[in-house]
Amino acid sequence: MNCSFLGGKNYTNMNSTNKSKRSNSLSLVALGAMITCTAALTGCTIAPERTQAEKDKEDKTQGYSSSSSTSYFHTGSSSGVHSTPGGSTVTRGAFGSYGSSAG
Amino acid sequence: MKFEKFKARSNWRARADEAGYLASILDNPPYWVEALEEPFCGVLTLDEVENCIEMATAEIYERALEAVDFVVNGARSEEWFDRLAICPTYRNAIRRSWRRADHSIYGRFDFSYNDGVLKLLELNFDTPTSIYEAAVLQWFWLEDLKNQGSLPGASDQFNSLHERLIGVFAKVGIGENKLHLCSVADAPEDEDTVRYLQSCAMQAGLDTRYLLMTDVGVDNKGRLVDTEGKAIRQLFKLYPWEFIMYEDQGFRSRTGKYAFPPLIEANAVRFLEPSWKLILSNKANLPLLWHLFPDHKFLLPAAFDDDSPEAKKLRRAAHVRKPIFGREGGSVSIVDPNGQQQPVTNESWYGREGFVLQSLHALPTYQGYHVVLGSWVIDGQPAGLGMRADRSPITSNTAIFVPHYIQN
Repeated sequence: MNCSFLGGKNYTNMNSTNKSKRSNSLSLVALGAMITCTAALTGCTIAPERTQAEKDKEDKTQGYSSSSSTSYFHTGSSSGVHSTPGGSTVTRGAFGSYGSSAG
Repeated sequence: MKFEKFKARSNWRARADEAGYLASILDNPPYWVEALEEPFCGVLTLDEVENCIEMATAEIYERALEAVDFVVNGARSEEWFDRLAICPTYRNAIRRSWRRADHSIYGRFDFSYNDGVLKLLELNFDTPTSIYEAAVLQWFWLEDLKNQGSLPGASDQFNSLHERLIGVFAKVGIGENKLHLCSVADAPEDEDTVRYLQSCAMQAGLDTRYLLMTDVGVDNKGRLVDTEGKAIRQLFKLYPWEFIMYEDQGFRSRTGKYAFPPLIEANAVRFLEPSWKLILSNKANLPLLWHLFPDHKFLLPAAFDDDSPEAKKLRRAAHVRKPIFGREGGSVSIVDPNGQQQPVTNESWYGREGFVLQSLHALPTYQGYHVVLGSWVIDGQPAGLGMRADRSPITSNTAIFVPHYIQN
């Protein structure tokens, strides 16, 4: 991987002892550079802003439509079926509409 | 463990920027502790780290894996999948994933460590965040304070996260060098987390590509494809499996078939985290663990929120009610029938699948903050610690990240 930011910053714990909880060097990649560099390397796609329809869909899917305790699913529906130059179809936007839920 | 105040570095924002972290995330509202007027840190002894936190992390992780195996391979497998609210369509896929030993990158236990007693509060093993803060930002903080003489040079930190992440990604890269990583739109904290993990994967030699979860496509052959139409063979997704499970129903309504279970069963895509994490990152595993390992020293009594004798017993004392699927403290309540603990509820849309009850083990407090320990597991091994502090006893996404050091 020949990218200028890799190895550009090296943070080494010089005070490691035999009891240290951290013994190896920390070679850190700056995230800002990371984003730029990754885009240059791989053609990283910057996604367009979500449309109002997509945001509306998120609102809808986050509000449960069923009070049943045994139904496993929301009522979100997939959208965005696109044809490719090769003649196949690709469905996008079917997953990821709930927004952030990491923690 | 104790807490102590320290003087904020005059250049802490610049140091965060240097590390690539968006200062706006750290500062508005305060997220990194140095944004407070009186910042503080955690102080631990090496004995506490090694013989309590690290040991408990390894021990509970082993028990948690036993619980997964119990659900997947046990005689009451279907019953427990029901209780975990995992839909039937995904069960065989999860079984395949577990029996194949699909690789896991990371996870985080949240512990309450109060008056020398450590108890598991919950497991975050599907989409944990704050890894970058724990791995990098607090390490910078430690080095800076040592360099400026504010901390003794022998001070250390429970933190080998960065090196271990690179190590586990190197394993992931064996046999399949390409890795796609995705997170959701309009979530800079999530994207920074994934960008950091991407950088670790790149340093491990993987050929990586980032995309939004909504840009992950499914072609008419059932393959996952990226924005260029190229097949995705490995996917790190900072997006909960239960959401995928829900949305797959919508996908089936449109196309007549589910997207993910066939890919998992055929091992056509290696998912990180693997689908068996649906069992681990599910609060129904708290009563499951208590059922399998009653009176374990690091576990709290827990039961499903139903009419069972176990639930009735828990309701007689201070307890916490948690949704089976939930994140960042959403829909969590603290209830004390004896009135000694003020009731607290964090309203959210989680909880449709039901709730569990867990005996209350209060978090330690400092300057009005309730501090929870996040103990990380990387590649199956205890690997580091992060602390988060919240004004509420229910830790939410407004909690502040607090660094720590080991006093030698």
